[in-house]
Amino acid sequence: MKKELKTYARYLMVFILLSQFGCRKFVQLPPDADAITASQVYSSDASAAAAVGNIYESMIQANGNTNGSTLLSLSMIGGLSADELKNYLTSNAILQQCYTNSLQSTTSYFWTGIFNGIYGTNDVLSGLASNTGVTPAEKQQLNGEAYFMRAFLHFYGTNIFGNFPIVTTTNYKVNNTISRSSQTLVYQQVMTDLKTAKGLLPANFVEPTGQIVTTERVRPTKWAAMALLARVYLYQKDWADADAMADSVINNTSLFSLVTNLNDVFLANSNEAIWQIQPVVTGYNTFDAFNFILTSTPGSGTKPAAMSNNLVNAFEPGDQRFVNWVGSFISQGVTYYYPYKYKIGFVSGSTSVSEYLMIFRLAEQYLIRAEAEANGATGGLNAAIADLNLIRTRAGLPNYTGSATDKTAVLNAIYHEDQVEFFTELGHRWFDLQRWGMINSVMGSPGNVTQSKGGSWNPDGHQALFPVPQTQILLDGNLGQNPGY
Amino acid sequence: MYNIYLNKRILLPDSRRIRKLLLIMNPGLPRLHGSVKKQIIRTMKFTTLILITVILHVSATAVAQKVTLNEKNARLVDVFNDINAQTGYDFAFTTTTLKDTKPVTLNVRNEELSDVLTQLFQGQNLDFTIENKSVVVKPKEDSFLDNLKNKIQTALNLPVTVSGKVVDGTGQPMAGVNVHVKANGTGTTTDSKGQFSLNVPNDQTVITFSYIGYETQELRAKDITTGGVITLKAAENNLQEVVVNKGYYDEKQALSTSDISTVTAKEIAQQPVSNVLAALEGRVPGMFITQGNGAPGSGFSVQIRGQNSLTNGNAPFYVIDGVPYPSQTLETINSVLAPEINGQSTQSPLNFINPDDIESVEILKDADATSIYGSQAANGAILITTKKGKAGKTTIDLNNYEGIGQVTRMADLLNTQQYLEMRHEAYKNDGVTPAITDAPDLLLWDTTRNTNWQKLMIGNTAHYSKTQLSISGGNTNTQYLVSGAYNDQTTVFPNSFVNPGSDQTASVHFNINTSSDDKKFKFSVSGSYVSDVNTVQPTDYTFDAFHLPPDAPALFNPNGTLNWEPVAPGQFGTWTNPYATLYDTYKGVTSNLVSSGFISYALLPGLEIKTTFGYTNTQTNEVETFPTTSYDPAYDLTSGSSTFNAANTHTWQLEPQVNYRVQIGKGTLSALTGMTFQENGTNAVVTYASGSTNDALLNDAGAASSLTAGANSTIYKYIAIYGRLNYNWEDKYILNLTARRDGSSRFGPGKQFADFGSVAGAWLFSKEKWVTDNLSWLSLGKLRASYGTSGNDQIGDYRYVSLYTASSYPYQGLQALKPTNLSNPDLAWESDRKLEGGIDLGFFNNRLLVGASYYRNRSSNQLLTEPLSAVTGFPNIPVNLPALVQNTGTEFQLNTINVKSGNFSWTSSANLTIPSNKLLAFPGLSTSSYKNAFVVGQPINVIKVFKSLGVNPQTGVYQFTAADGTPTYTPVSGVDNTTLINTDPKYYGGLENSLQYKNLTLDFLFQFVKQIRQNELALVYGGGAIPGQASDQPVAALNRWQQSGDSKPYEQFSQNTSGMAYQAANYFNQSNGAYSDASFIRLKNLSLSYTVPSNWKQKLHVQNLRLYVKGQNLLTFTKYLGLDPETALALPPLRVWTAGIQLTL
Repeated sequence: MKKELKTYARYLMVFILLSQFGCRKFVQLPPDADAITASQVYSSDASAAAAVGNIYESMIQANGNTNGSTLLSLSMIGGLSADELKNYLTSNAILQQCYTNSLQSTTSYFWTGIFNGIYGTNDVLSGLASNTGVTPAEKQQLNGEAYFMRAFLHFYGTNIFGNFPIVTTTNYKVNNTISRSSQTLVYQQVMTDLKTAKGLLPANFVEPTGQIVTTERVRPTKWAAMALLARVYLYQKDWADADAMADSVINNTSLFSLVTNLNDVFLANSNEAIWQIQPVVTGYNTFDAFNFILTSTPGSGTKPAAMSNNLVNAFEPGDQRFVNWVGSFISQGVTYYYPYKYKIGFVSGSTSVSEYLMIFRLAEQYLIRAEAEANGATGGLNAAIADLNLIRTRAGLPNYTGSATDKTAVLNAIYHEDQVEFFTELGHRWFDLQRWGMINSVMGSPGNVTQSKGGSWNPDGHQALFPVPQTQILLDGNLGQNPGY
Repeated sequence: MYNIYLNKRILLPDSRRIRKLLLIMNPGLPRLHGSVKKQIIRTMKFTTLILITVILHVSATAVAQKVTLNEKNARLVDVFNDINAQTGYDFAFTTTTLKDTKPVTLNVRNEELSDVLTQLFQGQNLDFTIENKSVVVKPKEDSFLDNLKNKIQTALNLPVTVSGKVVDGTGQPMAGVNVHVKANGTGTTTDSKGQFSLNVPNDQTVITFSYIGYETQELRAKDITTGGVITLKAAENNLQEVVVNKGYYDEKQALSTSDISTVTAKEIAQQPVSNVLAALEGRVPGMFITQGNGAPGSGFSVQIRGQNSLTNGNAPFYVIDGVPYPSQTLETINSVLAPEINGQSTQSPLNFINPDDIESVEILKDADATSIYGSQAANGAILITTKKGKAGKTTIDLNNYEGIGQVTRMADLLNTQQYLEMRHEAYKNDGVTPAITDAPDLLLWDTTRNTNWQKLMIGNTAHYSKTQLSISGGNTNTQYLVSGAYNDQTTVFPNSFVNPGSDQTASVHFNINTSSDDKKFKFSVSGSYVSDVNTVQPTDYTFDAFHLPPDAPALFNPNGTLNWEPVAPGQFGTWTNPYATLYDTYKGVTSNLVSSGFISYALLPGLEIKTTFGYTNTQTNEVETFPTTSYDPAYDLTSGSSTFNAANTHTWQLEPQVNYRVQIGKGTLSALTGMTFQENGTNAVVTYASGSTNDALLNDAGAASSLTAGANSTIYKYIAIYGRLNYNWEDKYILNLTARRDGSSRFGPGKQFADFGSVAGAWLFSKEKWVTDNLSWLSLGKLRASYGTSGNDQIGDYRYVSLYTASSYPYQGLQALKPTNLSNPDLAWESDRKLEGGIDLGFFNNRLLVGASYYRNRSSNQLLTEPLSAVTGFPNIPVNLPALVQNTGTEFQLNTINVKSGNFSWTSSANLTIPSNKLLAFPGLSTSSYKNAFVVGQPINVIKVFKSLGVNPQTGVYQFTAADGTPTYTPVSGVDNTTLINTDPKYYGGLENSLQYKNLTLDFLFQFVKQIRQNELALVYGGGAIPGQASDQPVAALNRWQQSGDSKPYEQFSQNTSGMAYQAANYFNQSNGAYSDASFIRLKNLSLSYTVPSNWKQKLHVQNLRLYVKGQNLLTFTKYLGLDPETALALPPLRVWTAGIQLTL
């Protein structure tokens, strides 16, 4: 009987062991029907490319142009903050705060959206690194795009907020207590990432997978990395490198050229485009077009603003950009001007999108080179004037007629050209005013911009930087607030 | 080879006799049957612990063979002991022989042993022979002749005559006892000597013996020996005799180590409800149920012993016939059906279970009862047992009722004259002249109109009707039950223009039980299928009823179209016509299948293997349409829109288990072990459609030009191994141990498994000799205690893993994949430690039963979403925090038999719960995002509010106390909200009475709740409008500040949305001024029924005929000035009256 008991005991033990093994297996879940895990995402070229596609998609899919939830609302919010737009929707707190340069730390502008995007880039980098299913060529391209986008988002982050956290991991424990780094360090990180991206990204526009060359200019290439590098050098007053980098981009004439017909510049895949983002929401072209093009008196939820007199008056007579890139709407005898670079807001369901949102275009590289040259890079003032004149000519304007030896005069001419060339393009003007050191004089001098907008500009210039949302400082005390808020 | 135990007890009466307590083989003992022997050997192999026979062995000292006994409900084996002590005769029997014996009541004085034995075995299915100073007890075997006679009688269906005598528990003859043939009610009554004689069709005829105040006995004719004695037991308060279901096993309430409340079919049947939860309100100590609103098919919030989890599911674990049932329904798109209570949507899946198919509901509260359910039962468990077939003649039961329902309470609102006074004063206060654009109610509308919007929008009468038919019957081996029901309820809202706005339910329920002749093999299967069509309007009109100005325009234009009252034709209307949404339609079709069954086999005496299995499936298809006609024509909409929802959820479960029961010493050991395999899957697709060319096409998604869809799909898997050990020493000392090892797919690798267990004990001190000898009035005394753990995994699926879902749009032709969450692979259970102590006392033969329990539940390792800095890319992450929530409470239960005389009986029961909830610890609370939500040392439902200083007599505007004590008009959220309000109930309970006079039965239940809730001031200031704006207000609002120096509870009237008064009203709404007592006592239920007398039944040839009236929510006593203290701002629960008839054939 003892023996039998022992046998039973043995059977029992085997059963328990088996059932434990079975248990573990039983509660391992199969993939969910509508969601997949990281190892599945990074197991194929297509799904890995889809994860990268999400970084672009999430930037363009929300019409954040009126609330600062995505970077792309810089066209509106940057324009209102600077001297480009006038707000008519005064009941909208966010727009009115930006317009009157009275930003509140209780409001969150841009912060969340940027970090959401940065998480996406780091997630792609770690996903590609820890999984093996993606082909090497695809992996290289996607890594390049992720590094590029990480740099891109940090670049805007530091220009909006000044000191900015350098986020290079998805580890929430690290990111949850991170401190902000100085802008110098952020730029170093941006440049490192861009150089890496430049080495990884393809030299041609390609499809999401298979490195197949395409006419669609909606994924960053090595030229996009170089274009951003040129801008980063320029912002840091590294004139020589800015000049060289812009030079390289301009010299790629097989891909890029200035589009002579101004009305074609912002079309999808125009030759001037170094990188565009493809609008994805059915029924719309760019939200910039949707929000700016007036079809009624400005002041409604989707048409909050019109161009400021300041901007309208900045155009020289005969500037074809005023003719082609500025629209007007007359209501009760009042003419409202609006940005008309993008021509189509709504499209009917089946019509394909004809305009893409321009992120980098060749004209900027010419003006970067001009500014670098005017500041002492190779070529000097004459080369600067030559670049400047290329842009003026395209705009139907005569060549620069000022002094060819007065650096200040040449620079001012370039600055003016920047204003009328890149108006309401992703906060271009707002950042220029800061880096030129002109923001206090433009915004703050008595009777000047901020006052005319109904606000007041503090001489300390703190309003140039956006505040870190107070709620976020409560969550991560290491972030700290910008002075003045 | 045999284990033979000498029974110690027989030593006690006569210590002069010396016996050896040895394991010996007595050659004089009767031979055991070969088959028994074999069985014994087999059993011995399996375990050495089985007791096979009890042999009372004594030396054969010559003693008198006269016996004197006074036994009352004694166990047969105890009577044997007594006889043995007096006579020295041994008794030989096997335990299985005595398994089904009945308790014995016998009163003899100095009678012959053989006579006593004859009486003793009367009614027992046993025979005896006296051999060699031993009484050998055997199962009854009819003699050949008897057998033949019986067979012939059965075969020929020969009528037989039964006669006998009916006595009460004391042996006194009972006169006037009804002796009836059960099948047709024919019969007789006993004479003054308690004797009767009755001719019945055959010896299988079931005869019932009934008498008010006594338990009815049923016997077959063949079991009544001619001239035999039938003893009727006084119908005591037998609550403690009830067998309760603890899920994997049953136990007698009296012997239970747990705290279990049972609500039976009888109590459910007294209430005209379509959701069984409504029938439980006020009846169960420790369970707090709140109805979301009064719409048919709407939801409930159910909490057993308070809120354990800070932010996750607090729903109890539902089990129907052993199979888990979801506590949350599939998501509905109709918000009226899923009102929010404490921020949680409450649609109730129990709407899809017919209450009349429920036999009993058991509420498991303490660790002893819930630990065996492990990680799922931290919030208690609700076990629902459906009705089963019973052996006997086929019974057809038909029940039908019709009824009406109306809202319990309406608010006292301003009439037009008072309203206009308020409006004009508001404009005057603000120094503004009304203009037609902002005051059409003053300048455009007909100010002589006075519409009672409450009456129009929620004052209609809802209709109820229900028909239920059930057929049951069977023989001793197979029983069946089939029932079908149809239930229809309408609403108190105005009728929709499109469909009736009703909830119609058709249901079928069946059960089949079968067993082999030797009862070793058993099989049972049950199923319920419910098809529900709900067309209740997706708008709760209570808000309109409360806030529409009394002078609002006519609903219709003279031409019958909706009136929007524009300033000029073609312009936008000056009001939102509340009837517009009556063009919206909703149709939700839900089918619900709940099925379960088991197979069991008794391998050996005491050893049973069993497998239960179950499958539930719920399928919902909903369509909500918003046609152009429900919008102001000035919008000039060309197309409406619609929402479609298709969802289904299923659960399957398989549970093999082994049961073992053995006698050890004087105790019984019961053991159980088993495993659970469970899977739950949910799929849902919601589609928004717009752009169809015609409103008539809104129900067709294919006709829409634009469709967007969202889908959700989850799978949950669960596995467990569990066990229970129970040792019961002479029904006096009971120890119960349970354990479970659980694995859940909701947690990551390494965290999926956890162990839970409990230990519990009970001491029935009333069985101790010192009690039985000295405190005969104490019929029950029990102390019990338990401690154990359980868990909560109600956190949603897949939260430990990072997931990617398809984002909204493709990019460059490739559907983008979006990371949806941060993952925390370390997620684990919320664990719950439960401690309980209780005492149960019964007095005077249990005519008075008192129970009290104290419990303490501590829930830790709380699953919270820890807010994260946005730098992490996401707003939060799920984590386990060592926050500790404690629920303590005391529960009392009282059952009394107040009056019990021939024709009249009156019983009462009352319950009271005094709960207390406290957040004991929350490390890092002050820096977490929960810092405004919780306070350590306070209940978790505490609300931090501003301290109102009332209306400033100078300015006429509310003032508040800032944190530094200074008065302020603009308190700052997060700084100045320092006053704490606890909205948990302070105590609650119910008082139930049942009265019976002859054929008339009256039951009623009062429910009471002591609580603080948002008061009518919150209603006034919380509706988005303040007194003075174009919204009606309670009459109380007239008690407002008007001029400097006024000291009034309400601030000045104002219509300015940017003014100080408006701002102050918003702050006021977040202040202690907006909370006050909302306690209530409610006549929750009343049921009056009349059973027609027996002679009528005979004439009508029916078994039973009952007429009844039932009422729900009949009277509410409260100081609360809003609509209803239970539902606050939503549609109040309905006062329902139904009348019906029940016929049993």
